[in-house]
Amino acid sequence: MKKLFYTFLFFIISSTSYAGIQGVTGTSFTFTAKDGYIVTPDANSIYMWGYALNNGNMQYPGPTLILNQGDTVTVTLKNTLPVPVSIIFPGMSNVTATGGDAGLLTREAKPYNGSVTYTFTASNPGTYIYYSGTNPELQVEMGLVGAIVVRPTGFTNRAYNHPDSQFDHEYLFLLSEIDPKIHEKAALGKYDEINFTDYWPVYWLINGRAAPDTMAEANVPWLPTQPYNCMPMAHPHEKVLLRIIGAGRDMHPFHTHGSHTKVIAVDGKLLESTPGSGADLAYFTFTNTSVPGGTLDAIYVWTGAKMGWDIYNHTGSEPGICETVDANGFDVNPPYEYCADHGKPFPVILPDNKDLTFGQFYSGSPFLGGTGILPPGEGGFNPNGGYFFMWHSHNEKEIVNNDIFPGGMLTMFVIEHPSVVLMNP
Amino acid sequence: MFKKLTFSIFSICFLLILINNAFATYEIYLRAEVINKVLPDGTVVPMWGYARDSGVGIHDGNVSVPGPVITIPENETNVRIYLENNLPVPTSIIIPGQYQQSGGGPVRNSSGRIQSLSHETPPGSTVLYEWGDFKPGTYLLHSGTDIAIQVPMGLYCVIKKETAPNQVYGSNTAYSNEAVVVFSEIDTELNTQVHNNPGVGTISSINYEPKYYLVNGNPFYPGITPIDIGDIGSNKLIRIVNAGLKDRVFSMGENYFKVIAEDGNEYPFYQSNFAIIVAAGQTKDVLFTPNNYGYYPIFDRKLGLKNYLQTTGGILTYLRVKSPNEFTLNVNKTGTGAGKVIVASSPGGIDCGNDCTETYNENTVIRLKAIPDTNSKFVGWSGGCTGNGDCEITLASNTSVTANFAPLTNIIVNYPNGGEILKTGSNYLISWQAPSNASKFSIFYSLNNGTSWSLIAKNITRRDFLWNVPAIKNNTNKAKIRVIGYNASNTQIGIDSSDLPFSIEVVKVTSPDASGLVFSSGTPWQITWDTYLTSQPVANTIVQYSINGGFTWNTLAILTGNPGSYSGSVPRVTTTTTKGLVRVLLRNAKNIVIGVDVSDNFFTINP
Repeated sequence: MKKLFYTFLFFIISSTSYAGIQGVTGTSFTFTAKDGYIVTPDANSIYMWGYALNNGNMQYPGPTLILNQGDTVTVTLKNTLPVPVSIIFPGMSNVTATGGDAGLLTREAKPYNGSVTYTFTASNPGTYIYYSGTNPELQVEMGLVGAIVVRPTGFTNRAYNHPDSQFDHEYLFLLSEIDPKIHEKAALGKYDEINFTDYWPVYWLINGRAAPDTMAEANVPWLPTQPYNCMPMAHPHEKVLLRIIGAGRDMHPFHTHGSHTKVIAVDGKLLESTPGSGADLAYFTFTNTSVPGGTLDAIYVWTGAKMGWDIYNHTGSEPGICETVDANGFDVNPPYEYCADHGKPFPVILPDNKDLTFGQFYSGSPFLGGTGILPPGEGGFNPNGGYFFMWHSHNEKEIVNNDIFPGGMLTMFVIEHPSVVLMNP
Repeated sequence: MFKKLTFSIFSICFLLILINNAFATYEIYLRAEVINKVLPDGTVVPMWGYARDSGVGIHDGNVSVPGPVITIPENETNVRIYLENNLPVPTSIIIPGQYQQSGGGPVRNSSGRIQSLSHETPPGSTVLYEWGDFKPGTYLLHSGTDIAIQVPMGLYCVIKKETAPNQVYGSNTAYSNEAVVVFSEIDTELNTQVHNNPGVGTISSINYEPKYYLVNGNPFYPGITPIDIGDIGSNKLIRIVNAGLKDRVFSMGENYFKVIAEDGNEYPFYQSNFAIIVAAGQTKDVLFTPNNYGYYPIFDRKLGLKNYLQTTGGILTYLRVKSPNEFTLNVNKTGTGAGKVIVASSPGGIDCGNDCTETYNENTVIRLKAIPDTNSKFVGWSGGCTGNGDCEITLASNTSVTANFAPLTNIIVNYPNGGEILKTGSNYLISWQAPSNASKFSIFYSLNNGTSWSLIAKNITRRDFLWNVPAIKNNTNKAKIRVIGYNASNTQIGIDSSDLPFSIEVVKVTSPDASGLVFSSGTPWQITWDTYLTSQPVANTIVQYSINGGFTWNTLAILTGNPGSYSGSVPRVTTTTTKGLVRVLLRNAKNIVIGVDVSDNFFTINP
């Protein structure tokens, strides 16, 4: 009975799929290009240009459009900025633009009160980027960039039309950088004094926020122009889809501690040898270098295998665990424990609390889901006893905010005990 | 016996000739020269470039940066390059990916450090470089001496070979037309230092900071000629070569392309991408199939798109798929003033200037912009364009356009000049033209059509000013800007105001505001309004409606503070009114109105 109950409990919780991508759905959108400020964790505020949804707050990045394969989509862009603005949609089909003025890459909305309308078909599922086609060297830097997610027909838990792209959780990683000198000059209207040849970013961001704001919730009122966060979470064995977008002008080696990723698609195309063969050209890496203007989809799984000790603090005499083992060495029943380590004790005697210094992410116990006694004031960021893995740009100078560590292009990925309900945005 | 000997000698010679042709050798005569490169903005920068001559010592080739594209015929396996060096320093050649045969290398300097990867050509000499079994593909040929200096100085070109006619590698890489796209950079400071002090190893590139980003040797400029890529529906090969020292990202905007090879090696599987990294020194081959006639952009998504303190330049160009019909656009300039006309949109082609004619695909949309010189003003268009703003033409026939420039004798306020709607608290770039003897300006605004003026700023030296629109007491549609210019002796030399008034809004009703709205009595509705910067805090807001076009007003609600919206029911009417309006009044703590707006359009209420 107990065995069935535990199995049932784990099954319910681990079969639920949470949507971790914030965005807007539909087929008709209105963007207003407007200016505003974002906040960095070192208490700086930076003048930005962004695409606001309808006439709401300027936001950085722009609204993530969540579309369905085959949709015909209209985006009306209204402009309140002192410069012309536009949008290009790499990877979308049949993009047409009407209204506004002809520009170097697409039609643009006039300054202050111009308008231009774009229509396209989201023919293929995947992860895409949109950004301004007007002076992109300035306007992308200023914040006129966003993401598009196209869902394959009939599935919300696949990235493409093949089971190889199935995921349990999905998160957006829109990577960018900021050189405040450029923003200061733009705030003063001195566009012709902006020098890109000595571009020197000092802020690095994921989804428009620098760490530790990446780990706050989405839509917090104290970040009104930075609605998206980046706080990926999963249970062991769950597939986490990373939708990585190179939004700025620099490459970033995005590194996932804890496990490697399987890169299944680039620029909205599955890595397949022939159409329909699935991601048979997928490759494994623990560092994905983003391409400016490009996207990639990678799947991450943490299993807890081969730790050498039982992460659940089992003694080995618990009934119903590891009675049947699959070909890879995992229990066939949830939570799919790694059986070779089942019942193995923690390999060291933990020092007394008086001999330890603590971080905020320590729960007081080394076991998954475990908590323990902590001195007053210690810990606190890990109430469920999860494992925290730093996911970050491995260009180490990018994990600071204007030279202050920790910060920048960094977040924590949390593996929670299978019974924990994930606190997703 | 004598006859037999002759025959034998003959056959031996014949055999030798046959053997020589089996290992066919292709000879190239390259020459390295010092040149002055003139960039489209007029900057002259000293560079070192290659020319290809028809023979040793025959100087009939043109020196260029990048150097000429060299094609090795498919049947040739051995390649010999005779390099004549007219630089003040030794140089050499390497082709990464191809194995050099003869000679030696590397060459070390007196401290033992490598200065050349290959054997050197001293100044004033001609030396042979040789490759056997030359592989097909796209390669970068560049100097192998003091590489960090000699390559940015300009010693690079593309060398390529096919497997078969119009086929780069395997059979899937057949194509109908090709384009070569070379990325590179110029750091004008480095070039000047090297030109003045050319010895190998004397100048360091540690502070290398490109000021110009180039595609095929030039930054984008409005007169650019697109690369002709042939007809629709077939594979086009684009050979991308990065001869610069910084990575680039090749992008074609919204178009996918297929990446088939890297560094001369065909991939076993091709991927479709819209953004690929082309690292410094790397080559990539992509196939692209255009489905429509028109112009396809190629640009650097690593955003090397603006040269040092210039307007748009950098790595942007276009491929042209020629339509069956094409037409010519001709620009003329007239008047006693001076200026130029450029194409400010895709696909460029006219910088008039001196490049005043271009032939385009049928129905190409082109935006022309007239830019007067500092001492001139643009009076207007005639011919294929009208008015005095930018002109957009859809080219359906051969067209001529004339731009009229007149001397500037006074100040001209360009923005705001009438009709604009500014929001209090927002930033607006006031801009004007002035004769060149104007050294400073004072700027004023009026809220009463010019009856009285308030100072915004003085001693402005630029010809624009970012105005933070102040919180005024009420919406107005009678605002104007005035600019007065002074020369260096503080004498007023010009004055101008906005031609027509513009509006400044404190508050704006956003719903109901559009035209054609129809409501039914008693149904729910929501009145919304945007508030910008008010001159004082809003203590209460009155929401009113009128059914007689604003002759009389009825109050719907008095709200505390300024919630921005009010939800209620559409007022009841006994007969249909077509003159419905809504009005919002913002009041301060003393109940004095500090902002008011009315719906822009009438709406209808049915009983």
